[in-house]
Amino acid sequence: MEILKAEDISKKFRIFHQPPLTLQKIVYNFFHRGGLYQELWALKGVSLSLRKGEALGLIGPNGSGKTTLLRVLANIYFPDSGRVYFKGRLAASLELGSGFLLEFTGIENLYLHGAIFGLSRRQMKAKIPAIAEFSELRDFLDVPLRQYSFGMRLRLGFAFMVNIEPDILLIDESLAVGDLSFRQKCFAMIEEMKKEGTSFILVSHNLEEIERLSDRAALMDKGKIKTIGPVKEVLRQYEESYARRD
Amino acid sequence: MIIQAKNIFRYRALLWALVVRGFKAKYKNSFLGILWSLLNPLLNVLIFSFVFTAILKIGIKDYPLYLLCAIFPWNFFNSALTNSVVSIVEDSSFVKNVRFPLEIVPLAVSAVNFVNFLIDLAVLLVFWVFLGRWPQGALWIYMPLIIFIEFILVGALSVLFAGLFALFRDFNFILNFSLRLFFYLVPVVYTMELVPRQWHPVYLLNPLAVIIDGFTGVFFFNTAPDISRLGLACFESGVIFIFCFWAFNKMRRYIPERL
Repeated sequence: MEILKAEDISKKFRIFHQPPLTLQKIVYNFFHRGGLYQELWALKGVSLSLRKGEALGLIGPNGSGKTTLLRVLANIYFPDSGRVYFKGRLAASLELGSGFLLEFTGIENLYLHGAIFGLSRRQMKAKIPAIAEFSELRDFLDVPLRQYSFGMRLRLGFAFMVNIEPDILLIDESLAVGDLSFRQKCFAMIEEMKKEGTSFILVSHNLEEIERLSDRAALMDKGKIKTIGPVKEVLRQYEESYARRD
Repeated sequence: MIIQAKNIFRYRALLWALVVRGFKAKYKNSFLGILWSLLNPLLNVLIFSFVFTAILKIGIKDYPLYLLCAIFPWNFFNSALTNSVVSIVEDSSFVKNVRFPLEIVPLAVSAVNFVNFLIDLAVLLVFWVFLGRWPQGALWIYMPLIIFIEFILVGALSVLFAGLFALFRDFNFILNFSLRLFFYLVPVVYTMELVPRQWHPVYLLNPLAVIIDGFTGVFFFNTAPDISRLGLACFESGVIFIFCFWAFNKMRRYIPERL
């Protein structure tokens, strides 16, 4: 059963030579056409679908559009064309540890994010022991996020995401800062959740991770999906076409 | 528009949290924080009192007390807008990674400033009781209406301006400059009496002028605001409100990618 579907997604960015954009530049641009920015198609006709309980690994060189694609799927960026459909609750762990309010404690952030995902305080309260357990942050939940290390923010974020019972979880790279034991725990969790029907899109440069967790893989390059299919084949193609260039 | 309102309501917990955060930031050391936020308008009162009584003889009785009434509604307008214009950009890491109605961020900043305004008013009232200048009974009913109109106006403009600043990063210079000019277009340092009669119809098209005039009327002159003018200001604020949210809706999609 398809749970997420993206059809022909295109996303254009204007890359400004001297960001950020100001009105002064707009006026300048009006009189001197062009030259102020160049257009870059971050995504060009990307289509993909995800079945229930499936994990799709997304690989590709830096700047190939992986994170942009996740942001479009998570409805944070609006595509210039194409559509995204999904069923159920979609959660995204994008830039590492951001999306938290640093002035608030771990607990307050959990309630806040719970509210964003439509969980009442009572529903969230019931989940806190499990989150504290999984993140191993029990003693730090009363501390403002500002004082957390990156690894701790990751733990909190990931523990939250897996405990709110998402139907689709998008994970961008973020596991990379976790220590070995926490990553092992995450992998085990992802595998368990897959069995229970959660679907994943995983972005990683760690090909072993992709190979271990994904059912299919997609290789992105210059805003397009170059290949999508069995993990082994896609990984081989990736290694052949990019590894040697360095 | 209705969907937008529903969305904001759905994310009310986030709005609340952002308001709380705003307070924490503002009143780091509780009582002193309130004093600090009072200091700026009081300093202005002091300066204008000096300039307009010692140097230019403006001839308004109890001028410093008049200023005190006029400065708070202006200060709310001014500080809410200057604080909220940068708010979306300042929260960029949140905006880029979480999906939520972005207008919540400037609205929360406006709300913080609004509560601050109410605290200022409470302080003013205590002072008024002390001076024995209690507004006459019936005039009280205008207060909530005037405050409400200003809140609508400020909230709407804060959303529009925060969006504009996210897209055009020199917008806050334009805003600061405009606010400075705008200060002289509302009856803060002078009263409506001093504005030539024949200008009134045009002058009072400005809803903030009506608001501040109404405010000093109730608090200082013990006069009721002109209902038709107040009605017009209410209508204008409503139109501005709809326009700002509509315009923000048009801008919304471009904001996360520009941060």
